[in-house]
Amino acid sequence: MGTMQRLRAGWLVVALGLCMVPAGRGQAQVNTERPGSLLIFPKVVNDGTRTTVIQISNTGNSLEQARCFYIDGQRCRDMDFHLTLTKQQPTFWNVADGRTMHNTPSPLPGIMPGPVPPVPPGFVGALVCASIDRSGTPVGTNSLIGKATLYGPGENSAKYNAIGFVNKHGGTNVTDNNVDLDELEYNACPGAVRVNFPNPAAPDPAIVAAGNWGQCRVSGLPCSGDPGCITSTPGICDVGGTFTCTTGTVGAPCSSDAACTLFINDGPCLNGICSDGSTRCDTTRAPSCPIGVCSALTGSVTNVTVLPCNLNLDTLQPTSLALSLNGTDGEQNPLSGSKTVSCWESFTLEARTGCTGGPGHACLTPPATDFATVNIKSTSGGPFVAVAETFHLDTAGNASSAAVNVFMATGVCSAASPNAGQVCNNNSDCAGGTCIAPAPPPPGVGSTIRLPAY
Amino acid sequence: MVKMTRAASVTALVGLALGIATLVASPARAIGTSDQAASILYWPKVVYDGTTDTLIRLSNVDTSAPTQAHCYYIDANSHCSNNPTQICDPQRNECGAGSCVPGWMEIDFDVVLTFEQPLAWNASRGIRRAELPLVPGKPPLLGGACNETGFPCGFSYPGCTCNFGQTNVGTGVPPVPEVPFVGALECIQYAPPQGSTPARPDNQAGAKNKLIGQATFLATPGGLPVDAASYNATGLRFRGVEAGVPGNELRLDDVQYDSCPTVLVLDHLFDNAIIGGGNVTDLTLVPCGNNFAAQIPGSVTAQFLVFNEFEQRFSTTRAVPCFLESQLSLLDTTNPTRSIFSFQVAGTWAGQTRIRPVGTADTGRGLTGAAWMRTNIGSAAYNLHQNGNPAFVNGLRPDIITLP
Repeated sequence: MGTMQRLRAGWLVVALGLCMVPAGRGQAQVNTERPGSLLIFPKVVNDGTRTTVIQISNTGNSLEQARCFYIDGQRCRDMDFHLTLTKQQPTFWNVADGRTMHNTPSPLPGIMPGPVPPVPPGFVGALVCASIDRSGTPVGTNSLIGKATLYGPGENSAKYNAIGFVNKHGGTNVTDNNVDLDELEYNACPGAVRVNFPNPAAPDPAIVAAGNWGQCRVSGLPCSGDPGCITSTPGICDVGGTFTCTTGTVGAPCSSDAACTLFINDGPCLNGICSDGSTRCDTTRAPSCPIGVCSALTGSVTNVTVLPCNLNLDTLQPTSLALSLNGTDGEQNPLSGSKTVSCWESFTLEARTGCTGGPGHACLTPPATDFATVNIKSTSGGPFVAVAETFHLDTAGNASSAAVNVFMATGVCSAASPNAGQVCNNNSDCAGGTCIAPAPPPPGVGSTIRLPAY
Repeated sequence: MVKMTRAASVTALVGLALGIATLVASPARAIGTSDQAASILYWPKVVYDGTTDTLIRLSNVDTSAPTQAHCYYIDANSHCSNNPTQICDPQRNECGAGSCVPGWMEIDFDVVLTFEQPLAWNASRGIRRAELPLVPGKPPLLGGACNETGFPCGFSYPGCTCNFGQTNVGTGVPPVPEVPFVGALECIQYAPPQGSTPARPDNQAGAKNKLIGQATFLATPGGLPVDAASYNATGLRFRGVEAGVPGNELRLDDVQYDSCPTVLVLDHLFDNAIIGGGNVTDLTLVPCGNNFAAQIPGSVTAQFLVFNEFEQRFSTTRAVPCFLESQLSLLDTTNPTRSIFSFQVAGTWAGQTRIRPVGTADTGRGLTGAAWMRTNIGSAAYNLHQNGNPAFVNGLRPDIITLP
């Protein structure tokens, strides 16, 4: 073999080796169950009725340092601090108190991970933590895991896993303060997310099964405790999960009976179930249930919290997202809606007539079944991460929530597919086309978290 | 010349190293997932006791084709040896002169899901045929017809809701077989029957990794207030056809399906730490492998390595004979205040427990699980983290699911 041939053979092997890079790309998506070098907690709350306990652990056998940023979702400001975790060390703090020498007991037992400041009262936003070395440069030890527990309001708690991003090359390819989520430096953000949610206009099935789905209008007792609601007469305002008028200006929000000024005393169809409990109904289509005395007052409300993956923590320039919401209910009726987000937002999936959207709300076509699914994808502003929380409401107005990590999809079908634009997981979802990550990125130019200079 | 030859060799080595390093650096080679679609789903904990019910959600993420899931309820109730109809708790002496015998019984059923369809049922009730969302005649099934008019989609008004003729026919979800019930649910994606070809698991057929699932515990203790907690089903993805594997055998070996991880990581608060009014954590573990054909449940030994916030470590071991559910601080003792999982012993609030499954059973050695933190102000369920891929060498067997 001549020298040139050997050289060619050598470069061929180089090329083969490098070809393995994209081959592995599909196998290491962002995830919520494996350790990573970048953790994102999309929902952190300390608003007076709720607080959040953060847990972070080092699953590795080396000292781990992390640079963390609280992102104030309302003001788009950040506040950073450092964590140092010894091998296998777990730690935690309540964001209302932080972890300082002034905790009770003082200090909390355990190796101090470094002073963690409390967030101010009224804080709602996110937490981002990146593994760093001594110089402050992001590194890739892929050892961090995290959880967040939301406590309140009232007797309620909900928990989700932090979203973890694996550094692809042990940090050797990170040369600046930018954390590039492009599948070359770190995992890319998901192309879309999928949220399963109970129909907010339907009574909660478990509470219905327990017989606590309604409240007598006069006595205020659960229907199961006042059989036949014998002390009741028809009421006026549907004080269900969404507090909407069921007569007059149907679907209009109300805080008391007086808000439903056009009430006509013939509409016992409340919150999607007839007052006799036997028939499901829709306030806009079936206003003719038998007159009863027990109105449905239970329901479920699903809240989605979104944080863009393009984060400029250096200049604090907020990223704006345009989100497209598409899904189906159990009968394959299509659901659709849209939403814009700037910096960070936590919004409720609304599926009722009269929904006008705005901050904190995303309007969807009302589902016809008890459960539905919605795919949320970004049409501009790049990809994002999200977490969902469903509040279950009982007849006494108590709410209990359950948080879950949303399911993540690879991307959307390319234009060549009849399913163009639909959320996909792999090429088999896109007959005639391919499943591609949303724009951006071109290769190697994904979303970026820009950290301030160390 | 020599230099050039060396240069070529070095270049080749660098290339190989780059390629290999890239593969090695990919840490998420093939272990399970709880946030992406998969072909095998585990709900490690399903409960119904009259006060707490479990809402199971199962969805097809395919954007055009139906899919089918073959599911197994695993009834893990224990019963008294002197009264087989009496359900008992092995951690309590509830059988008088008899003993509490762990049980394992499976009940299987099918769920047919239309494209992108979410389906849900309460464990206490299942789904009756009359409750299926899409059956012939509801709505009109005219292959691509509008729900509203019954006319073909192409000739209809803009608001047409097009029904593509897929139905839930074939679905029958029974209620859980006993009350109280504690156990697990496992669903395997099947390719729907085509012509004379019966439905068959993904290890032989095409459309793969289309299932996602969730469980929500909804408790209404004493009627009010409600308490809710959710976790995602853990999924294993189909990876490819594996030569020489029988059609009724699913191998969780990173070749045919994802493997179960080397280590499960439970990031928790120690029991009785005063957070949220005091808390305890229930851990549920189930083996990844089961022999449903021979009715042999998976059997695994779980080694627990516990770290507190002082980097101090403790350990204990428990057998997982088909199903294990326990309060953390009852895993190693009957006195929770003396447990290595208790705040009183660990001395710190937060803990990290690494759970390493080991064993030599024919069904394999892998585990999956979920946790449920209970406080005085409500509860929260969550998925475990996982770490490492097993290397199936030196006699280490992959987990195997054997179907009837």
